[in-house]
Amino acid sequence: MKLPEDKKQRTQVFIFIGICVIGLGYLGHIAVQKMGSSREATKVRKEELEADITKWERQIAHMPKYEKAFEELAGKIKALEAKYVLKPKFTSHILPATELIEQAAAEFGIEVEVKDHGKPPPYGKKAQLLGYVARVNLTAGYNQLILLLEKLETDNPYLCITKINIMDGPEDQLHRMSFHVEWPVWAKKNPLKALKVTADRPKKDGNAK
Amino acid sequence: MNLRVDLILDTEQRSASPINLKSIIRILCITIPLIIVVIIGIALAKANQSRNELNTLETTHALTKPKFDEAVAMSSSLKNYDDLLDELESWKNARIEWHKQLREVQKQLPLEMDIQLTELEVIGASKLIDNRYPARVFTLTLEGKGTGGGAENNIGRLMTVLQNGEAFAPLVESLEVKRFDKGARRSDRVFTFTTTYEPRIFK
Repeated sequence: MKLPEDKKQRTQVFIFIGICVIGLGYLGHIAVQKMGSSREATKVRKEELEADITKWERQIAHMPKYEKAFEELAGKIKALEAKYVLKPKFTSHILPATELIEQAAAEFGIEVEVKDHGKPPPYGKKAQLLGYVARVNLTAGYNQLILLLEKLETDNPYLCITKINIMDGPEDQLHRMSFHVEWPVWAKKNPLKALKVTADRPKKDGNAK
Repeated sequence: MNLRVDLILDTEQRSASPINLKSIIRILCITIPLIIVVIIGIALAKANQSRNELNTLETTHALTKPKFDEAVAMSSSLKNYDDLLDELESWKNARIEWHKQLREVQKQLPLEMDIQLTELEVIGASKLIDNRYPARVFTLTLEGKGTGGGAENNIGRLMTVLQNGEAFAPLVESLEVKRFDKGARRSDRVFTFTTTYEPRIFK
């Protein structure tokens, strides 16, 4: 394409081209600026995401360790609760309590009367364990009582004798006695069952590792 | 009279300058838009690359989140289990093995001491230590009488042992004499004292 021969017209063409270039430059500048600010926002978002991912991956890396620790703890707690936490029979704790005390007393030839003494207030606001107390009345010798308490306290290192009363009895060697035995029992439902769900979930989804 | 004859047309005129302005303008007319287009192109490419990277990160983020949630849930469950085990173990600490204490009391009362217990009472109560730590506090009350000339000394010795004896000292906090009187005979003594044990904290 040839430029017009007329000088005036040629100048007009140059001015037009100049305006076009300036306009194009301006548009380019706006576009680059907009892209720049969008890139800045993208960069910030990317940094946020990368920070999240790094933090999360660090936590995820602990999963096998958590699982192992979880299994160990769960096993330990289950074993302890099976042996030492008093579980209700037909919603009542007095039946298993009576059974345990009568069994122990029978070993030393003692006859006992076991009565329900209820549950004291929980030890601590967030306590998951409560106490269940049974009152035991008996007439026996001092040594027999010691043997019975020894049996109960040794068989279950978590129960507690919270009250003892020994008074004169019908004979010199026999005393009227009573004592309270307190076992740990679950405050609400068995928390092991509730926690088991959380423990099993990762394995089912296959997202654990 | 001067006569001027133009032998060359305007269009045929050539500049004596080594750089032709028209050419420069022509070159600039092409290169400037080209540079602008290239700059815009590069910026677009970079933005596109950045967006692709962001998309990849978003996908990784979305995929990592559930795993992270599992890990957090597991860690929280682990803490719950830990707390539960601690709580269970705390029951072991929050008791006194009374068969041992009763056996020790018996040991301290041999027949030759002529001290006869008329009542023995252990009471356990729950208490909050420092407004924070739940605990059991036990008291042991012994009521009895001593007969014979050495009654006062024997009872005094019993009191000392209940406070400082090997089996009692690590557990006992204090001993309070509630009664120490003459008995039926002049040399006889009746007594009541209460031993308070150190709080057994659930910890």
